[in-house]
Amino acid sequence: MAEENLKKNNSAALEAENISKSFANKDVLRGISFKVEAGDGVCVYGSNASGKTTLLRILAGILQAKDGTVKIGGWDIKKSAEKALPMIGVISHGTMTYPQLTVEENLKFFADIYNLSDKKERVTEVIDEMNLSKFRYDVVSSLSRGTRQRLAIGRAVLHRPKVILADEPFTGLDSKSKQKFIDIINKFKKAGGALVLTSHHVELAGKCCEKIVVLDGGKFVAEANIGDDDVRRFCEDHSTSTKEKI
Amino acid sequence: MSNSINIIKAIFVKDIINELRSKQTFASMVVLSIIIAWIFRLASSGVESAMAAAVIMVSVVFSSILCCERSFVVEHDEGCIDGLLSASADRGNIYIGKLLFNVTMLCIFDCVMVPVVCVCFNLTPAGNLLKLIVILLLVNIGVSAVGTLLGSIVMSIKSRSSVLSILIMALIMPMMIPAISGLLMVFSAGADGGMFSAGQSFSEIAGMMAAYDAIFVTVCWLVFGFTVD
Repeated sequence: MAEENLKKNNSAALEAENISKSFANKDVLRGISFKVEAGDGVCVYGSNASGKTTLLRILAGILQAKDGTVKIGGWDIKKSAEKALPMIGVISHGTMTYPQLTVEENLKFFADIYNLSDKKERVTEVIDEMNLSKFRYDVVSSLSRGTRQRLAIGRAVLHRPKVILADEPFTGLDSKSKQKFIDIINKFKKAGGALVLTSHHVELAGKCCEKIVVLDGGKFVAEANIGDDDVRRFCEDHSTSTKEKI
Repeated sequence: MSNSINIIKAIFVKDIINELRSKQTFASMVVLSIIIAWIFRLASSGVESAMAAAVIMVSVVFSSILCCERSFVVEHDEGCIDGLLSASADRGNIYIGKLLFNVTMLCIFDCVMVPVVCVCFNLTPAGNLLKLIVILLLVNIGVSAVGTLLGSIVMSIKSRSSVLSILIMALIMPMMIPAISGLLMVFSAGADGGMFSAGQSFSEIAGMMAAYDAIFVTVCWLVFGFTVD
């Protein structure tokens, strides 16, 4: 217990060290290292096929890295998966929800998987937080893309994670839904949560992240603070495929 | 331990609800088996226990392919498998939950398919009903054990149905032989177990199948984590 507290108190929310991954002898990620502290947000910017999704899947424990370590709250995601995984919430391209199940059934299912002690109360709390009360008993296949995305966020924060990993969360959302997403994430960060987000939308990412890193050719080639002047120009300057387009 | 049971139960109940709402898998399984039974009936001449045993095995194998494939397509479509993998450290629980669902589906399917086959071939296995249940249950467990593992491997492949069929057929072949012998004994009132039975008793055949099931459930449960990772 003492060791657990020590790890929680002294460690970064997320720490990746020397992450490498290759598919069919092609290096997709090469020696990626970075840290995200509690309450911070980092946007990973990169062109298509730059390795953003692969990086996030490794951080989430879905894919195994060839080399390197990922620590969540000080716990190694491979060696102490049972401690590290419950600290992660994942938002992906897909909503990770079952179309034939209702909103409530989906959340109850994941509450069971995470073995929450207060399942009923937490599911109701999340439904209220995400403004899903109206859709509580509706099957997911009947919901709009924006509502499904709210459910996806609800599913990701259901077990009170310390870190949210969001892969292109703005895709397919209208401006109102995008703003809603940003509000929810900022509230999560204010409560001490950390965020790693991949996006092509630098302006939107800037509303919920403090730092932006450019992933190109499988490695981080540059980083900047969101407050810096002309961040978009900076990202474009450091991304190979964007240069090629220009 | 109780956490594992909760996860297994949650996956099983979720899959059952999903199937009750979509009705896709079970309907396809039943239609396929009726077509198979009818085609074999047209080629036979009345009471043929050997033909009935073959029809039951063919129906179970092809239906299990549909069932195992669908059970993972549901996970793959909206990226739900990633949600499960990022939530549960123990992949074995996911495997057992899916396996239980597939076995249950096949057992329900048997309840529909066996009477259809008996009507088609004028058979009455009433005297050997318990033996029939034992054989079918062992077949369902063995086929589902292999199918659940292979379903997870091929879920992201476009031509998954054909790949899954070939792989399942190859791996369950050692169990098909005693299963057919057992079914022949059931339908021919214990007279003969066919060309491969070599004078074995029913309990020996059931024992072989149980051993196959135990080996495959254990191996597939251990390997599942590597395949989904």
